Amino acid sequence: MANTNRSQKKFNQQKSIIKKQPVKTIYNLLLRVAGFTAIIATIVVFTDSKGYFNPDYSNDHTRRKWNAYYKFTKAQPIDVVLVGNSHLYTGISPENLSNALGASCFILASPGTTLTDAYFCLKEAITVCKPKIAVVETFAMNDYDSYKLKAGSLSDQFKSFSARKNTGQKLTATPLLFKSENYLPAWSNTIRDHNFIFNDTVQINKNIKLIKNPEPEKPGLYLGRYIRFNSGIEDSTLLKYNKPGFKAYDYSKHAASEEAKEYLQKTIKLCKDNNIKLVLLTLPMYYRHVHNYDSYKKDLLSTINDSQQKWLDLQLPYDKTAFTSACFENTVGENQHMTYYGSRVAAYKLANYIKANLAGTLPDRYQDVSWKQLFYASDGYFENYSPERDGVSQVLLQNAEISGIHLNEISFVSYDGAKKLIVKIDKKNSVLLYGKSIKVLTQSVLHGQKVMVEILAKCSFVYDPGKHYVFTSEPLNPALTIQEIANISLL
Amino acid sequence: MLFNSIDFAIFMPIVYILYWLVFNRNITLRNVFLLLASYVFYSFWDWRFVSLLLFSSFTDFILGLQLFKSNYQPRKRKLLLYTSLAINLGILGFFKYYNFFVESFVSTFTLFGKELNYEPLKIILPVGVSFYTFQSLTYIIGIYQRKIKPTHKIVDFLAYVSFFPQLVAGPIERAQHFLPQFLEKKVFNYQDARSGLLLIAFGLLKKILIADRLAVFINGTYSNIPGATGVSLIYATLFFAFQLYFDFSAYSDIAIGTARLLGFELLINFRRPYLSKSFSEFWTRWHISLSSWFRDYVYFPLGGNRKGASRTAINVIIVFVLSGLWHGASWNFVIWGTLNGLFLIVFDKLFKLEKSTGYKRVFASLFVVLSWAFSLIFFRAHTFADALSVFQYIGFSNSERLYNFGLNSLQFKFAIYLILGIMIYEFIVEKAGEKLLVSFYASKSIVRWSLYLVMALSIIYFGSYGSANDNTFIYFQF
Repeated sequence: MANTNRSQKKFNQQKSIIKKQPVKTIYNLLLRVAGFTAIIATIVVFTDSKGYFNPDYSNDHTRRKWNAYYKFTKAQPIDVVLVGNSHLYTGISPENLSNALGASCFILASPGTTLTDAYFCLKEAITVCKPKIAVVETFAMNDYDSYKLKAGSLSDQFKSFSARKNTGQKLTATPLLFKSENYLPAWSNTIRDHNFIFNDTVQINKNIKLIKNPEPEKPGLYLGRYIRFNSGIEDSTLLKYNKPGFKAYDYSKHAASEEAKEYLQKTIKLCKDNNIKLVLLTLPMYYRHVHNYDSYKKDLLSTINDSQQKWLDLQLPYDKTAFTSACFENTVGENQHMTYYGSRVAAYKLANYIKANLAGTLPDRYQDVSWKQLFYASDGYFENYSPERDGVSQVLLQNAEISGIHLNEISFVSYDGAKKLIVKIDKKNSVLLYGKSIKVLTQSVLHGQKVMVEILAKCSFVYDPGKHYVFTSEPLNPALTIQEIANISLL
Repeated sequence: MLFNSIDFAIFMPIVYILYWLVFNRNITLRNVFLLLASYVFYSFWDWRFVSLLLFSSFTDFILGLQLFKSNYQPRKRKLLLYTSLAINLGILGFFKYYNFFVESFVSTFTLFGKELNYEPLKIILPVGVSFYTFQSLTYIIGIYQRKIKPTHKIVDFLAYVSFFPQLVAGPIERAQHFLPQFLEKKVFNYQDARSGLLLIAFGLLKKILIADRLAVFINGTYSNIPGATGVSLIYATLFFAFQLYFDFSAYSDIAIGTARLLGFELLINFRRPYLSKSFSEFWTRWHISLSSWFRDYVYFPLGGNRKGASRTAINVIIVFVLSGLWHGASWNFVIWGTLNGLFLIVFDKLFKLEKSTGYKRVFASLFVVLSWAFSLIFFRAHTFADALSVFQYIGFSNSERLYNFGLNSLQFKFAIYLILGIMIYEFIVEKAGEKLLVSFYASKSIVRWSLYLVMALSIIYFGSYGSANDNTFIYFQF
């Protein structure tokens, strides 16, 4: 009884404490709620900035691209920016494109992206460094809207969004790229990956270690390329195309969404407003893979509504000689990407298109020493330019006549841990040399021994700088040194 | 618009500020604003169905006035009442039950060897239709029973039917309790606002931290019942009882808290139902606004318990079957309702549950919760066949598969600790009553703000949310 009385007394006292509290207005409440929200936001921003909930960035090539872009543009301007999805970054070799054009080209493509995302990527790229030319790959013209992205593509869009740094542009892009439920996850890794607390504490520990010892940046020139497929379509896969009625990719089922069309127009306008030449690029899939592309193309043409708009369509008309089955991923699944081989073929096609259609737009950076230092020996450099005295590469012959054909240069250069013989023959010779080979008999030294080595170099579509044919050998022993050329014969 | 969405987190502060600082100067202006806000809230789900809401409310507004005018014409009054019932229940019947009844009709014919061709209509069930039609009906029935007078201001009535905090999933308010609140001047009260915010935070905590975490496991098991053979199904069955409670009571808490922020007081919808010692007590604590609706508008008019034991039992069964059907147009809900009716009739009397005290009370509560969880198998399973599969595969084997259904061992244990934590809290509240809240508000501000901070950070860092989760409220489907 005494306890009950005491408890009642305490209860009454507490009630009177509440009653005695000073009268507060709505402004008091709003101020407190705002303050409290600010504290919560600060805590979340803190865990975001520390990176406790960062996903595994070691495989995030989208982030790597953007980081490299920000860094590159601090030292050198970018002349050509390419945006699109995985078809672009597997389908164009930016090093070969850069070397073929004598300009800096950078791919800022993200996997599974929409044209909306590509538009905002281009917008940010322009803000960081205004290019002379923008290339937009049309496979990003999806048949669905940003709001309808499935888990995988949504995660890629998060990555693309989070890799960009311009806060103002990201703010305006947020409601256009994401459903409202994804606004916070898009901005905060803490919100997006808070579940690591339960299911990936290993990553949290890794992130904590990374705060103390950040991973060193990967050295070398990085222009956003991604080599994913090294071998082409196999014969057994090719047989699947023979199946009656089989359509690996039917464009009639993938008509571009209204959002994609809207953002194509916005991209065109963005480039116009910034005085940037825009090239639309359609990278091919294997010709037997694709169906009803013409109707899709007509639809896009009506969307562009500008006959002057540059569009390099490598799907239609399709170059069967250049884009062989070796150019494509070994799949009959819907998403067929290009191989590394194919990405070089496509890069030269694009380079030659730009040279022919936008002549004078790009500066000749080959004259710029700092550019040359950056790009020297990069993929495709020696196919376009002569090697210099670097202690490894050799110019074996320049300007010679063989069987009535003017030969520009024979060089022996380092290549991906091996060596490679490159023969350049002037296209002015008016002889079609694609598919031909050159046999070069050399007096060489291998491991201190003098030997006669016969090297075969083939002229393929892989390297087509426009001005000359390029014959390249298979990778050769890096210990090999050529002393002199004994004989050359065109096969 | 979901309460646990960023849309609502943006919508609510805007509405709140405009409500108190701009529109609260004049009652009509304020109600017009509330009406618009409610329609905007509803449009986030599907703007087309705002017209249905408007039609249903407008009809009842007119019928209410006509009912009042024909005060001395009993036949006309009945006709008007039946018209309202026909329109409201007609809307509900068409959208919710058309396919169910036609399919059942076709199946009956098939049983007798007569094949009928039938293509089900593609009907979208308007969110909240079961709630707002029932709420609207309380107005018409109230006028018919001469318990209330109709309002002459259409805005007030429309705002009453569509009041956004409780429009989609209740609590189902009675016109006599709720409508007058639209006619009074509101004065900002800091204590009310504070307790409203705390209720919202508590609701979000229950929903995001517990219910949505349990949902992952339950969805995993119920989508692959044979794969979940054994103890996983036992956990799924028990977890669902808690998921349903935390999910729905969270919605009610947020609704009550939101309404309180705007100066409105809604009915309490849950009063610690899992501490009930009998089934009859359970139904005075679970989804109170609906249970009492059925009690007042179906059970009592049928005669309640005044016509003998057998008639009482029949009345109870009728109420529970109807309550089952209210939840969903499927035989599973009918079975669920019937089972709960039978529990109430049989077990309460058989075991004299009402009289249990001391340790017996604990067992009585456990018995009630376990029986309830058992009945919920029919509630959760998509089809009758699925429910039977659960009974077929449930057991104590395959404990090694327990963590294969979306929750790893850490999350699983965390979920159990949270359930236990909330149940202990409910037990304390049951004992301490209002005192607990009073002593909390009387405590030092550092204590209060620390708790607010812990609640908010727990939701952010330990909550079960994200694009992979289904975060809708269970009662949205009704």
